[in-house]
Amino acid sequence: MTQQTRREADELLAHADSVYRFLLRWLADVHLAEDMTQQTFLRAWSSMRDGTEIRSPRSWLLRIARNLVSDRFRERPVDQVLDWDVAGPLTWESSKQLTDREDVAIAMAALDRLPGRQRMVLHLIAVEQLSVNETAELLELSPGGVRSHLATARARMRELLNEQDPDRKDASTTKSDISST
Amino acid sequence: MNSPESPKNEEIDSLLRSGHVGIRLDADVRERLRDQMLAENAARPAGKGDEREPLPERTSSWRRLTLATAALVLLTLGLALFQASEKPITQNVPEPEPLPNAANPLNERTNPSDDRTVASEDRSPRSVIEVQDHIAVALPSSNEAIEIVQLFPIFEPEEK
Repeated sequence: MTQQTRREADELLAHADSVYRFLLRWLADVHLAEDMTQQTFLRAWSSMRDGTEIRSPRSWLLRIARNLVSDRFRERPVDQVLDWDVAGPLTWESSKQLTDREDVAIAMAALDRLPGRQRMVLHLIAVEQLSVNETAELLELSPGGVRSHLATARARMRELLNEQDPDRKDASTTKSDISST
Repeated sequence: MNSPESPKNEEIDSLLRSGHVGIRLDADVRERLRDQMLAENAARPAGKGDEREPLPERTSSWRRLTLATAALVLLTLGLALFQASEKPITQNVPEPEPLPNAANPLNERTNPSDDRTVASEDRSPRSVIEVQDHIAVALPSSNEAIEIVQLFPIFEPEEK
């Protein structure tokens, strides 16, 4: 096995977190997202070794992930909400370094309250920083539809963030309050 | 409308990015996945994997089909030209219309079985009498000729 092969594998795996976050947002299941991430990369790797030319690896991987999920979970709605009791600790750990940890927690909880398409559009553009066209292609929407979902999602996020009491002290309490509403 | 205190789009995006910073694929899962990928590569037949083979030429079959079609068209055209050159030239000349006769002065086509000029059995050379009949029909009678001559002085007979 050549050094080049290992390097190509590592270059592809550099996008593993993006694919995992996309699948986690969509499937709202940590173990399922991990499983589908592995399947995505194995399929992508096989296709790559067969000579498929890749221009934008991340978009290509996200598209493979989308197709895999669509094929396997046709009946699964996109409105699944992530269970932060399972995925949460990862987020809270990273947020320890942030001074506005509570705002982050509120924003994440607010994101979960958005309808499925708005949530996925906002996630791909705000978090993964995909372009409108890339997002449209990935979610099989028109660019205009993506912009519309994005504007609505941001407006709704503002409303949800403004609803929160700025004197909150415990982010986890706030998170559970939002989830119970 | 947004109130002045409302978070801007950039702030919302920044909060969401911060919230997702720590969401990573588990390190063990990632390492296992890497091993699977490399193992899959090693399991491939020799020559595959490290060296990417060129894709098969998908157009070759189309090229063959196009050439075969062109050859067929050329052959058909050549055959048609050859057949056309073999035919006698007279075949394309229209059959002359039958001369009018007394029974059908306007040469109206009647029942083919009754019309000698178009009857299939009437293909033999016409007899002299038949030709004379046609001429007799076509030419004026002697009395009519005299009347015509009288109308035009130039044809007046010279006085002896």
